[in-house]
Amino acid sequence: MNEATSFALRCCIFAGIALVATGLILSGSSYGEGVMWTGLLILILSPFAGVLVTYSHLIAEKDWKWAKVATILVAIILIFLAVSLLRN
Amino acid sequence: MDPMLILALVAIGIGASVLGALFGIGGGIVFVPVLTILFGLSASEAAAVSLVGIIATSTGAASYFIKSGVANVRLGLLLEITTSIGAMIGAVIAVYIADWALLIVFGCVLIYGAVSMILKKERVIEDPKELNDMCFSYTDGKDLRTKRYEVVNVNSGLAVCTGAGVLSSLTGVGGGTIKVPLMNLHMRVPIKVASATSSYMIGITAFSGAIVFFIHGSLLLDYAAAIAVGAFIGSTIGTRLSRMVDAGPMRRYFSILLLAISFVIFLKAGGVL
Repeated sequence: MNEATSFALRCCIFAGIALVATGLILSGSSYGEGVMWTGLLILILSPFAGVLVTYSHLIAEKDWKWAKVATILVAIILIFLAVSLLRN
Repeated sequence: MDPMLILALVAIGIGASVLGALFGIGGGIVFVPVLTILFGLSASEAAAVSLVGIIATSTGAASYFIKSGVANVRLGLLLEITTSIGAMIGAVIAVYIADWALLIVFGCVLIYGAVSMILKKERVIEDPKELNDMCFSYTDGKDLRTKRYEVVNVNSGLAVCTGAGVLSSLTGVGGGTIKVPLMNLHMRVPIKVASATSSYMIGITAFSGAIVFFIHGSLLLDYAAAIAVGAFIGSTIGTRLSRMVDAGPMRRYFSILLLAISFVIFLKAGGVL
């Protein structure tokens, strides 16, 4: 589980930072802004991607106690997001 | 954007992130005042950029700490539940409470944590005799020994994390400054595990805020990008440094950092920052 979670976080952050840095270099061109927005989105999503990978591993390992904990956390994050988006 | 401005933001990202990754505090306490005072950003613009910096710091650090087994993912998931609930409560009650009063309470909590960490010895339950769901192990990068420990006072720890979530949501200061002393002093989690686990948790908390700013398009793109690149470089340095530091000095350094942060918070409460 640790290996998979770490790998997911690493992939997301490397991809996100690579795109963000490329976007900064290209900031004078028409592509720069789009590349930066894509990089930032990948970067921002990375912690949640890590939680989802951990969650799927806990289910695959039939570690039900901790899978329940992860289910509650994912539900709370989604509720928080929905409430935040609806309020604004 | 001016290349010199980009370089300055990258440098700030590196500095804040080294501290953030080393001690599991994210770095928001540095990002927000610097962006508002030096760069003239509004509070909400600085908060949005800071959240991106915190995510880059915590994700970079967490990927390393999780792989090396120092961060406790299960404990992080558990404590994050009540932290997130606290953050939701904080967002709802924010309009009813005066900022300065909260900041003073927060500053006092940090001073209490700092003094406790200086005065009280680390009381980790090593090699517990009876194994249960809250027994874990990690390998200390300093001496490469695998150490077992037991997490205690889980229910009260969860309750305090709710308070940490409320305070961080109301004041904009990351909950890591409360969660690390809480895990270490109250739940008997070794300091290195506590700060690594806090790094993992902070990213999850910051995600919820940052994605809302992103969807509304209220992120300052160039600022967020430059801070993110700096924060990623800083987190790489900070995680490597943490391997070389002993647990004892690390607690002392963390206490000094808490005192410095509480000083900044009191300045903010007094309207100086």
